[in-house]
Order: sequence, then structure tokens, then C-alpha cells
Amino acid sequence: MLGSLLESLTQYVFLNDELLIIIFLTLKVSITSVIFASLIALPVGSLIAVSKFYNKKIIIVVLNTLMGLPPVVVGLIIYLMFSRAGPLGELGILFTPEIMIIAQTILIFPIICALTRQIIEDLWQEYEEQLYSLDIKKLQTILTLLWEGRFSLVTVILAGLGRALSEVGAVLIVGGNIEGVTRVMTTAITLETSKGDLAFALHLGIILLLLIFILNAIIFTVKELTNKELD
Amino acid sequence: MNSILPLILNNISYSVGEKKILKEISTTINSGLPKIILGSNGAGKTILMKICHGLIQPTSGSVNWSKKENGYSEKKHTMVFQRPIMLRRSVLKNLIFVLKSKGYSKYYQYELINTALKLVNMEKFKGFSARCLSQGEQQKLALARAWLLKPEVLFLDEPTANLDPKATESVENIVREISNCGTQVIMSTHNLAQAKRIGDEILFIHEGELKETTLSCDFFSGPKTKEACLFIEKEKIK
Repeated sequence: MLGSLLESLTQYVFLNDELLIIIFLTLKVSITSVIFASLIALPVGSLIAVSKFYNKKIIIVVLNTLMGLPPVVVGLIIYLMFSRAGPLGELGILFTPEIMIIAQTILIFPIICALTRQIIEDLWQEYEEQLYSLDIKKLQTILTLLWEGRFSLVTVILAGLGRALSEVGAVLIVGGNIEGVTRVMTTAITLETSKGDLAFALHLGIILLLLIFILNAIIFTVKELTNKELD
Repeated sequence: MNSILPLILNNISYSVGEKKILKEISTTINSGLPKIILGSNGAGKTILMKICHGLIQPTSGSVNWSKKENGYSEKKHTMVFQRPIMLRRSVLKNLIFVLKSKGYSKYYQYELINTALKLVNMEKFKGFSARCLSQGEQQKLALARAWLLKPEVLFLDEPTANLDPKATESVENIVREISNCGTQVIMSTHNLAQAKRIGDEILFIHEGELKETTLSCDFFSGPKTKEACLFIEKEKIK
């Protein structure tokens, strides 16, 4: 049974140019958004963790709340902003992969930022006195804590990637699910299901799961190998 | 001219809620031989050192390091904790981290690191993960790391509290070496024998109050306060 499933999946993937484009675009949009979101969220989360400022607790609560940001709401707001009549309509990027990346970056940012803040804050409690005593400046402190927490942070980034790969609401609204241009795995599954082609939709679902599994396995192996070097 | 000493403590008090941990401590610490902050557990030794080092702010009073000519007091003091924190990397990389933060070139980094590891007799541990070392070895590494900063004042917070006699002897020898190199050592302990072995001046603290500041020989031959007499008696019985 597994053999026949694999055979049929291979057939679907390699004999179907449309599917290959969908897989490629899914990976491109999701990975790019995770990179952008991480580049912003890791330093911001760390900075919040090591800084003392007025209303810090409120910021943390807001950040944690934003982790549950509804994708359709984000999609709608971005749609309104980038539609022809919107304030950023002149950019003309609605229904392009670029706007899908923007939408997913906004969705992933709070997840990576909030979890980074928590991890770095826990580390900060342990390292604060030692790093102060070694006269380490703030920027280097943040870089050091990020490096010290790298193994936990990889899991955080993976959580962001998981969200990006499985997200459908926002990319459907801002991308428009245009064949060959903005159609990704999740929007394709939605479409095929509504069309009644459940077999194709199911195949897409299995491929999506496999993709997430492969990405996780690669990152987990790298993490384990690096971890071993330290033991 | 550029010395950060003397360190002047002016009416230092520290409270947590209603509890007074330090009570109006005033003293001057001049450069010279190693100084020991002696007292029983909970007397306020660690808090006093942390206040001197700038880790915590006193509830009242002030800590004054001697200022340099330009009016800027550079941080030339460091602290080794009872349980030092090692970065999740090798012994060598832990030491490189400190030197890199001070802007040393790679050539000097390796030269200094070799000297530091030699000082603590840990040359063969270079490639080991710092977090996997025994507590005694971690303490020695912490001393090497502190030495690399070339501090004028080194605070040691009960560095041998959890160590066996052999590791304690080893750490004490390193402390003496560092002191002989010109660093002002200020160490806290509740161990009378250790205070005798290392300290030349004793600052005796009892329940948050600085009871006496005397030369080590005078303190042990004839303490001035009854709290110090009791402390010595109790520690002798132990």
C-alpha cells in the first residue's frame, strides 16, 4: 500500500509541471517569509528580553496575543492597503508572490518574536550577572544570548516555518490563488477540494506533510550534529 | 594615577522589603594585599560584593571608585561567582570570547590564552566543552577568564564553597598567583582557615553590619568585637 502511494505521489510530482511550480512557490514564499521574519524578530525579541522599559509587561502581553493573529484578518488588512484604492496601491504588488511573503512575514513575526523573547529572557536571568561582570556591551550581549540559545531558537524558527507552510487564509486573499503565479499548496488543496477532486487534494496534502517532515528532519540532523560537537 | 582604588563605601544599606540585609556600611578599601570579607552564611557578604561590583544598587549610600584624571571611572574590576556561568562552547572559545570583546588581535589572543591556561594548569582542556567540566575545573576556568581581563580589582564570591580540599587548594594557589601579579583580590568566605591562608586584611560582617576591619594576624589573635569572638569560637568547634 505504501509502495503504491509513493508511486502515485512520484507520478503526480514528476509528471505534473503545475504541481512542481506549486511546490516551488510554496517553498519560496514560506522560506523567504521565515527568513525575513527571523531577521526582524530575533533581535527585537532579544532586545525586549534584555531591556527594562516602561510598559514592558503590556508589550509582552500584546506580543503573545499577536501569536494568535487570524490570517484572514491579516490578509484582509493587507488587501485593503495594497488594493488600487489603498494607501500602498501604487506599488501594484497585489496578487503577486511578493505580497504573499509580506503577509506571511507579518503572521510569523509575532510567533518568532514572542518565543525568542521568552527563551532569551530565561537565558538572561542566568547570564546577566556574568556578562555584566565580563563587561560585555549590549549588542554583544544580545548576539551572545542568541548564540547560546541557538538550539531552542531553531525550534522556534521551525514553528514559524510550520505556520507559513500551513497558512491558507492570508495568502488566498492577497495572492488570489492564480494558477502558475500565486497558487501554493494550501490554496491549491482548498481549490481542488471545492472542485471535488478529492484525490488530487489528498495527494497535495500528503506532499505538503512530506515537505514539512523533510525540512524538519534536515534541521533536526544539523542541530544534533552541532550539539554533539559540544558534548 | 590611573588606579581605580581606593574604593570608598559610604553608608551602604540594602533592604529587601522590611528586611535589612546591609546596615550602613562605611569603609575604604585601599590597594595592597588580599582582603577577606568574612562572615557566616547570610551575613551579607555576597550582597556587599555585588554592590561594590555594581551588579545591584544599594538602597542608600554610595560606592565611589577613585576617578581617573578625565573624570571617567573605567570598569577595571571583575567578579568570579560561587557558581560561574560558562558559555555553551569549548574552553578555548570561552576565553576567546572575553578577549574578542576587548578587541585583542588573534595573535595576542592565543598568547594570552596559553598563559591563562598555564596559570590554572588547564592546558589540556582547551578543546573540552566548558559546561561539561567539573565544578572545580569550571571555577579555575572562571579565574583564568577573569585574569584575562587584567582587572585591577578581582571580587571572589566564595569561590571554593562547593569544592573538595584538593580543588580548594588548587583554586587558592591560583588566587595567590593572581594577587602576586598585582591584582587586588577581595574575597568572601565563611571559612576561617581559608581566611587565614589567603587574607591579609579581614572585613568581618555580622548580620549586615561591618563589625571590624583589621589585619588578619590581629583578627585571629585578638578580635575586637564579641561577635567576631563568637564566630571564631563557633568555626573552631566545627
